[in-house]
Amino acid sequence: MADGSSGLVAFITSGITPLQLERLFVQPYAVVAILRSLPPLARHILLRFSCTGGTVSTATVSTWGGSDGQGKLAAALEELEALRLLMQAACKGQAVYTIHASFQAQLRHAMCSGLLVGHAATLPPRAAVPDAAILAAYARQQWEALLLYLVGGEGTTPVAPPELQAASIDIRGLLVAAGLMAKDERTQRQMSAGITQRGFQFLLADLYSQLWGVVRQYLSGLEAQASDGAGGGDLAVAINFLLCLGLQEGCNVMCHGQLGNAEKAIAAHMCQLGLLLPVAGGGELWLHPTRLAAVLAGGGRGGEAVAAQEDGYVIVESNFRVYAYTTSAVQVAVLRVFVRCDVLLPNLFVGTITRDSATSALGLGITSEQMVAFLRQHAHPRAAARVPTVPSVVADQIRLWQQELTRLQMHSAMLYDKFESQELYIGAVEHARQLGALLFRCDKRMQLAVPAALHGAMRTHLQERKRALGL
Amino acid sequence: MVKATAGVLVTGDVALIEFIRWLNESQLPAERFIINGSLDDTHLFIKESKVEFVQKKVDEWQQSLRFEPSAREHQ
Repeated sequence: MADGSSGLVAFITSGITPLQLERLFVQPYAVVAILRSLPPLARHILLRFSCTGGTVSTATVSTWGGSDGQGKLAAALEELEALRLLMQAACKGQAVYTIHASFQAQLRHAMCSGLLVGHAATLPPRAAVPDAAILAAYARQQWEALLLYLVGGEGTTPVAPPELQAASIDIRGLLVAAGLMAKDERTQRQMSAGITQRGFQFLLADLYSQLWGVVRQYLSGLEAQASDGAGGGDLAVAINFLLCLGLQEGCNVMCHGQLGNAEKAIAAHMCQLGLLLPVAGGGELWLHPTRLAAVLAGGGRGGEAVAAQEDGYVIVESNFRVYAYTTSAVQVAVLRVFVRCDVLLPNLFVGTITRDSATSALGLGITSEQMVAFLRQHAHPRAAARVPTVPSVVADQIRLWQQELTRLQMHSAMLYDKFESQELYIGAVEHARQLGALLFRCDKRMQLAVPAALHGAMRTHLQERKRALGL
Repeated sequence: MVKATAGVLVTGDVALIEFIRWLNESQLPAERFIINGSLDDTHLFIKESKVEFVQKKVDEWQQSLRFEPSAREHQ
């Protein structure tokens, strides 16, 4: 989930219908993003195709790989076919591969004339350009409001800036639909929603996974909302708009007045989430992308690595003490999930990772890798310089605590004993393995155990086999 | 005829299984819970009625092996 390419490509291959996929191939930014997210061999094949007339015979394609590269070539071609970028057809009695026409056109356009900055033909006046600190502060404020709402369940959700005059997203509905919050019906005064197990894992994930999780839920919501006719267009426009935010380098400001209607609504929602900052200047409203937009479009590692260095705040010592230089309530709340708080000062959180705190977090469904990864990602720059960032004692001990929880495993099962013949036993073991139900086998004493639920299936199998073997 | 026995399959490391066997031995013959022909070093077959009892005893045993410096609790 932390890999940018898998997020986007997975969404495209599994999340949208073929009709919407076709519409996506017309959008220039989507085309480039898809190209960048493919593995090197598939990318190479696509680029070769884009320079041809569009159809290449299968025989020629198979000569592109050496004798020991055929397997990899075939795998790459299959992947491209699954994405509908390449299609197999028969032309004049020959088997050929054809590249998707609009994809090829967009790709050529991008290669030859670069990604045209279609939106910002004019620039905002100098006075209206906010400096980096304001952008960062706005992004942090909006995103933390969302996370704080997730943790607390009360308080205000981030709101869309009023000057954009658009309906804001129902943040609570979005989080509930994503499975991060669940309606808590115990309070009678109001239906407040509390955080779920998945919500805790979401909090400990890296920024890219969080962003992509929320945006993906938002896109699914868009899909479900609109009727099939308009829905496809909206989704493709939304994806293109999102990619456009991060992929442009240099002049990436957008003028609100120049966007289409669907794009205006999406822009308002992105402002609400903290990806865009609206600033009025020169009679127009300008939208500036923030760091969050860069992280989203760049995929996990690109934007993250730079950001993490400035934003790290956690120091972990080998005596299991945790020091976090932070003033943010959200970060303290996230740390308290698995660290016992000893001291809380206005700008410092001091805690200890104890067996109790770690096992209660493990009981919530958070894994030891998530905890260690969280501590590593948010490491203070001075701690990050030392190797390993999180002391190996601490990392190993959290892993051991997790293993302790699974030390004893119990399954309700049926034990089969006293098989009349070796063949009957072997056959039963095979059948159990096919059902995926083999819990235990001992060849020496011919004993077999399967889950109790499958007893009926095993009994019928054994009766048939015995009849077949004439026992 | 193949004999089928219902019960609970217990999987764990060698030390844990040995502990459960010791627990079994220390019970009165009427209350023993390991079904005959206990399987091997890392598996056991026990009666369903005794599952919570075994779980509780194993937790108590693991708790007794832990040490938390009490001074820290009174900070």
